[in-house]
Amino acid sequence: MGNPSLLPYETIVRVTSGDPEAVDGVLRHYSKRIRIAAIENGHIDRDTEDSIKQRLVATLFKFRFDEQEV
Amino acid sequence: MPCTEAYREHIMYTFNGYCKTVIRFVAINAWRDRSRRRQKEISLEYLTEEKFYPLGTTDEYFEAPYEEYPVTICGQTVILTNGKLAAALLSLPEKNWEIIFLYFFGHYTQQEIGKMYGRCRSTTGYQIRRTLQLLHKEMEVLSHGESEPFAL
Repeated sequence: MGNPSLLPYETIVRVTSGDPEAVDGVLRHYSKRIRIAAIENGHIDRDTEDSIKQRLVATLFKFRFDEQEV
Repeated sequence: MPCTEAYREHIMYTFNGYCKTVIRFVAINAWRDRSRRRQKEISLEYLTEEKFYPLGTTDEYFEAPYEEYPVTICGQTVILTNGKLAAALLSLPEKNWEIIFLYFFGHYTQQEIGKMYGRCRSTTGYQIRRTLQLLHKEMEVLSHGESEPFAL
């Protein structure tokens, strides 16, 4: 498959069905991006990092394969 | 069949975008909350060092104990901590102190006190009321610096 920086399709399917291992994989996959987003005044803000992770996990289950239903 | 290669790739890209968007907006929200909080909060160091707000008080009961006014009533020494009350009490006849003391602290009934002094119950009740009124008046006089003659 074309882009190696994307999560494989199977993982996405497992995440949306609530597989904790897959969710962990997603967090690991985006950990660098999360840390960059949580940077404040040149250092990583722990609280922000945690809240982003928390929010990301919560929203992962809202991801829908819209096209499938059409 | 929607599960083609193109569809999979589309989902992968969509999911990637979805996650990136979530991360970005949560970060923005966190940043906004922080800056809002910073506007409203005043740091504790600023208050203590710049404004000298006292963060605590020390109790003064033990440092400056009340002045004590020992008064002897019915053979017992009562220590009063209120100077005005002691002065007012001393300005009244001794019999009135005794009645007050017996009634309020000795837990005697008005009847028993009446018997001790050879009076009936209602007289004792009147005397107690009267003494309290006089005490009240006397304390007011003391605190306002005026003096009025009064009669029992």
